[in-house]
Amino acid sequence: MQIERLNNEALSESRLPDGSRILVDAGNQKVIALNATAGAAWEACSTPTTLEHMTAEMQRTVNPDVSEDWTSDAVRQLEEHNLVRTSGSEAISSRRSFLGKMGVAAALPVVAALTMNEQRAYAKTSSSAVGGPRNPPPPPPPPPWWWPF
Amino acid sequence: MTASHGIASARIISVMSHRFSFWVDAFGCVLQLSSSSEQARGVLDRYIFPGLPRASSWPQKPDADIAIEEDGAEFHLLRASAVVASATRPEELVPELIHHVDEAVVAAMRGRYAVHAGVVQVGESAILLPGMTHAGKSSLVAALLERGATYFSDEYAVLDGEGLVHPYPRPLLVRNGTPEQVPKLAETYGAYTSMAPARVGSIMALAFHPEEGWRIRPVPQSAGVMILLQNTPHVLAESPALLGVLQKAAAGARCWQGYRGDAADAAGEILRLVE
Repeated sequence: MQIERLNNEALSESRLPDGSRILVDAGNQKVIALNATAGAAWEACSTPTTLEHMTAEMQRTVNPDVSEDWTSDAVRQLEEHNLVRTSGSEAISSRRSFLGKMGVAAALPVVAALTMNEQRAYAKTSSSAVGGPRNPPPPPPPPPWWWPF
Repeated sequence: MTASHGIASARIISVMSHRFSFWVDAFGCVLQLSSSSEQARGVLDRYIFPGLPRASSWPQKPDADIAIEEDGAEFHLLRASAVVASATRPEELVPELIHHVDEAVVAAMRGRYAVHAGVVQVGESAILLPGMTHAGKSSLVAALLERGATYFSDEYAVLDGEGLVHPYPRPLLVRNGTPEQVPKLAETYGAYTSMAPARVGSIMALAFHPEEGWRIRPVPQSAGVMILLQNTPHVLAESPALLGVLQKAAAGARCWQGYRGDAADAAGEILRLVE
């Protein structure tokens, strides 16, 4: 499988001290959060590469036990957010197919996004306290679960 | 008696000469507070940023002009001379008064950004408890104050360009299980109110869920940034510097998400985590 980044010119990237990252995709108008493992996968495909090479790189930078399934899951999530494209005949593992094998969830790659429109909607909700009906109270908003619980 | 909200049917009333006026500069937002009633003036002075200095005059036009006027058996809360709420006692207008002040201050902020969050300080660093209205921020902050935390805010974390959080020392508005909010000063809980900024040490997104009780897990700092982004009244597309500020705030923080039960129990768990 070949893996190549997309939209490099429209992306800005910040790395936080714990190794997680924030990407701003100006082209697709969204903010994307990567945990440290997904961040390492992102780093490992900074130039066009293969799943095998990415896995070797992540074994070096993240954990020697990182498998191709693990890397494949990171690639799948990066692809879902239009950060990479893949080519080749190998199928990308679904998360479900390897979670059971790994048995460890602590460092699984996670990629989550918030579009600018969604953020705008949250901002409007967040600033609508004045003058609105306060009796009875509205149902609580859904919890901000950015990360799998 | 409950204050009635008058925005939909706002009327302009003839305001008597303001014998009592003072000005407060809150994060660059100049508020003019006034009343022709000494009783109402006392309420304004007691509940509008009690820790911030008052001025008896101001050289420029205020960003917000807020008044409480007595009109027969009623007191009216006015913003820019339009009635926005009425009640039989000025104290009953305090929650609405504070919401209008909040709105004016956040709208006028320059170079600082607000995040909807309860904030207390424990040790050298601040704990941010992001959450929208009705998330139980005030109850949790009150429980933390009762256990010795220093008060920053029950509503807004105000972040500067370096990601430090500043006190937003409005009175707490607590519900105590009822829909109505009651103003409480931090000293009611035996707590100090900070007057200095602090670095953010923890970001905890806690959803009230009595059946789940205390169940939280750490999340990456990038998730902390997203949580803050979801709880700010500022629109990122219109405030591009916002994201950098949120990243600076989260960069020194441990971030958590999860469920909490009773505020008193949760306060104990939070303090065990950060102390």
